[in-house]
Amino acid sequence: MAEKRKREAPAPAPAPAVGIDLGTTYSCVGVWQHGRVEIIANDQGNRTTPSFVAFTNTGRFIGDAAKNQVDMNPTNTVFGAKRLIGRKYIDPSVQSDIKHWPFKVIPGLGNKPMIVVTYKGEEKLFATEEISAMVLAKMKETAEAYLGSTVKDAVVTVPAYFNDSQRQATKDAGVIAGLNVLRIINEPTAASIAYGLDTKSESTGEKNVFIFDLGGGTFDVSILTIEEGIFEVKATAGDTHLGGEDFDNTMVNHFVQEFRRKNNMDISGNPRALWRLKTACERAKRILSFSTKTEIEIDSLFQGIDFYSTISRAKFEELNKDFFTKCMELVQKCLNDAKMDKSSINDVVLVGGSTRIPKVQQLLQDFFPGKDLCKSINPDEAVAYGAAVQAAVLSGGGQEKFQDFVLVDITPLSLSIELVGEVASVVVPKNTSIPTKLGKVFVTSKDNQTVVRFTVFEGESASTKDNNLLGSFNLSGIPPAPKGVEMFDVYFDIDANGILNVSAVHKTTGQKNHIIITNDRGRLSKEEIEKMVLAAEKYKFEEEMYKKKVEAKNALEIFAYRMKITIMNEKITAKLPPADKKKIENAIELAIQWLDGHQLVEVDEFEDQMEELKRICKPIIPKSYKGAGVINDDALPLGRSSSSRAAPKIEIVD
Amino acid sequence: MGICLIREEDELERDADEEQIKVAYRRLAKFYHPDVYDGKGTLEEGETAEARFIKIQAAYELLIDQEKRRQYDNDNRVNPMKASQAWMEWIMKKRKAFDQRGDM
Repeated sequence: MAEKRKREAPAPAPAPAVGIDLGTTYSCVGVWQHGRVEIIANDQGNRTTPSFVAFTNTGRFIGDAAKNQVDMNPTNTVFGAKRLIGRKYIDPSVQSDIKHWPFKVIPGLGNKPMIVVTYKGEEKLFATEEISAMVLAKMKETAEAYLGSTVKDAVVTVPAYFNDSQRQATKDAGVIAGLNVLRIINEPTAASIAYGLDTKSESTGEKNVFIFDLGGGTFDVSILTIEEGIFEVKATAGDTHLGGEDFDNTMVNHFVQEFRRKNNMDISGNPRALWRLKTACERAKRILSFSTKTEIEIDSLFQGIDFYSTISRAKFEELNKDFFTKCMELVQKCLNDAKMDKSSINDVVLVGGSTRIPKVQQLLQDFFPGKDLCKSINPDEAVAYGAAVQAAVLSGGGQEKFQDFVLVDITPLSLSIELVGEVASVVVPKNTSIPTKLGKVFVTSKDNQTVVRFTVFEGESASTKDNNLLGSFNLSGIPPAPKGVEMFDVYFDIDANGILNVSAVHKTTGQKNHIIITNDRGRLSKEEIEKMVLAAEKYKFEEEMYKKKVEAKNALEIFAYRMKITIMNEKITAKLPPADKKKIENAIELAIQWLDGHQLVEVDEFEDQMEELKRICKPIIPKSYKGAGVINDDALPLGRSSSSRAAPKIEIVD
Repeated sequence: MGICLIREEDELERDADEEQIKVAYRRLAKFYHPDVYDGKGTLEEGETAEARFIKIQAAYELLIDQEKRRQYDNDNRVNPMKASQAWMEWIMKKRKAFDQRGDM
């Protein structure tokens, strides 16, 4: 405490920058404080928060509260937004996900997927960025509650294999949540920081580390060289659509078929039944990590029919065989890209909840014979841990502690310029260290061409139509000449934040133009973001109002019931004229009846009722209550004794 | 030029081994990486820490790759350590121009 005060004494210190792991199924927030990372528990006491947002008739819930009510409200509870973010509606992965989700997704402007929910009786459309922003805002609030001040700056993590649109959309979500995103960093890289700092004291010399990050929705592998605080990423590979959710879904499909076989009924059109089955499958999957067989029991799953079945670990592994094979292929690919032999890997680090699956561990163990799989870092928290460290480095919050810490990350995907015939000409190969500046010379493709269009793509395909369009620009005023004569220097600059600037200069005239890749057709415009920021603030305000209403209602309710108990106490009412006693009793009854009929009216009305009731009850209000608008005690159940800490004068009549 | 930079700054010998190169790289990276650069040191006029780091990184990647390094040393048998900056730049420009003619 003393130390804390000393540090914060000179000026009201702004809250430190936080690190947020925005996950597909769970999110986690950490902060660097007093020389170490603190992973912050949410209001439910959990160190990870479900990435769930629920909409109901009364309000909006985020995190545990949202996940806990899916059963009752499956079509208005949104999750897995990370699997949609930065993607187009027509993307095959989006199409396949929609089939498994109880909530509705429709194509919006520019083919962006839009989520449809009913909120307070009205149909509402949300962009994926807005849903992710709600989760980020929840993480921000969690950090604020812990730090006691407003959090502004954050480092947010994304899968290493996310493309530019997905990264930009994640950044937009941060802006909508009221955060200044210092940087978007890669999840396996963040995890490696947690690992690197964890093992710093006990190891010397260069270490090649293999990070295997299999989470709820995405899969990444990265190879890093760590020595003396320098974290050099050598290569990365992954699949932004492979994780625990997929394993759950194959189990769901398996049981849907089994149900059809047994009962000749199809439950796939019933969101509630599917959700209940999915929850049971997720639970079964977890059990199968330490047991070889488990049961699925769901009462009244569909049309009153109970569903009982069993699943063995072997069956689970068989169902997900293809996914596991895919994982191991990417492990080999990453080694190839890093030009490393698996024998040169010193440590294999497991990150992400799905690395608890025994089959995954076994396959990795077989692949890296004789190497211990490192499980010393918490697979659920490692990413947020690393993000918190990087946040401290970037905001200078760690001071001398971080002088010896540098992270050199890489571009996960190749960057290219489109040539005639949709051919991609790579300028920045994948796995290039950033920051970087690389150039290439291009020539005109037609006779007397006066305008040249430079179109920038991202991806590994030789044909641009299979790659991700980042943007384009023109260079005009080129003097007419035969094709191939006029030359252009094209430079790709990527700064440490991963922001790409592409510039082209005409060699003879010196004409130049450039584009900073922060925008493409799928992305939100500045105006849209501003609108969403306002909407987010409105939702937050409404939530606060709702909370105040509930508080005002509870206060009135507690007061009324407490008075009801008091009026029954003969010691207190002995001196009261019977007419007054009757009057008070009536007023209390009226107030209780009024409460039944007015569940959630304006705060003022509750307060007015409270004032009125207080005025009438004044003769029996114990002194400790005087002037107290708020009752400082937990709800007092009628007829049961309570602790005496708030109103010692009240005696409870049983 | 990056190559001169990493060699000059750390007075690396032409036959510096992998370990010496790595040590030099790590020292320079901790100093000039834009995330940690603290304004000290000797940047050239108009040069940013980022530009300097990119050169350091490029030189490191070249030196650490046996094949590329041999090629580079072959191309610069005149001993670039002693060549003036202007001379070096001229050579690079010439070579680039030649390469481009080749592309045509």
